Amino acid sequence: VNGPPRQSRERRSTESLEIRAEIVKLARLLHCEVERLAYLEEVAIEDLRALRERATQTLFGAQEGTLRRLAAASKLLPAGLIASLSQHPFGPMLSARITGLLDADRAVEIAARLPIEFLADVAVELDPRRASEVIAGIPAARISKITSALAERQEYVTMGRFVGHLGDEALCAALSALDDEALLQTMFVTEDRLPLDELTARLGEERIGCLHAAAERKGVRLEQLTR
Amino acid sequence: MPRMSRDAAVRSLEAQLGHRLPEGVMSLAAEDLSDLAAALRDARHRQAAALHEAGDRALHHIPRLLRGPIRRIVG
Repeated sequence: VNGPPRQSRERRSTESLEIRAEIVKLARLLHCEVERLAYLEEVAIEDLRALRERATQTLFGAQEGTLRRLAAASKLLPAGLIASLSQHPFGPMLSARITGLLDADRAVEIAARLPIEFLADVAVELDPRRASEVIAGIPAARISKITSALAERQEYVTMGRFVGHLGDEALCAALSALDDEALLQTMFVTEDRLPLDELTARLGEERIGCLHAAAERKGVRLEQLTR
Repeated sequence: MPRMSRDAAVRSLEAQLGHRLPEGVMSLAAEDLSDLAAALRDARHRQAAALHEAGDRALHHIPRLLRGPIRRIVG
């Protein structure tokens, strides 16, 4: 007996990866184990996205008045001291909440003084849409190092959230920092699929050939992971 | 953790999210809705507590001269 047509199998496979990625993102946001939210696996992807979006608004909006006042107060302090306070006592979660409320140039100046591993911690907690200008201001060389740190931790879901927020140079740096496996895993879960011709232009024909082969080995076509 | 009734879990989630629940989430079992409401509530409480504690601790790292003006801004 023949199974379902290949395209239908592939579509289901990428859909279940998208659902899994949404659950991972929600678990990160709520600081709970992914397994705890396993009951969400049967919920449609659009509903999961809506749920996560609303939970993001709730948590990033909570204590926003206090966070805004802290951001205003930070103008009185030197960037080095803010960088130090970001690591301790504020930590990555609160730093991520405040990032989007700071003046972007100031936030970039502070980020320049923070260690890569801490910036990777903040990236996991950040809603990139609320800090687009800050992300765009981080030099490509640092983006490359943060990408490597996230890849080391297999934080594909986190990297996937940033794809649409990187400028040209930073995107090239990030793509180059990933090996084929990490890049494919990120492409599986990103919300901002790149056009295949753009990916080819950035990576070159030779690497795209390798990615096609790696995708085939995973039972999908590269075209499904691009737009 | 005491389990909420289905209605109570839906009310809790909708109040926390400030929106009606998406249809697919609404169709979850009562115990799952209850768990989701608790996970969101715990995350909100943890965040509030972390912010309160960090704010207090941060003042000790700030030069004395600036503590007054910072306190006036933060409130």
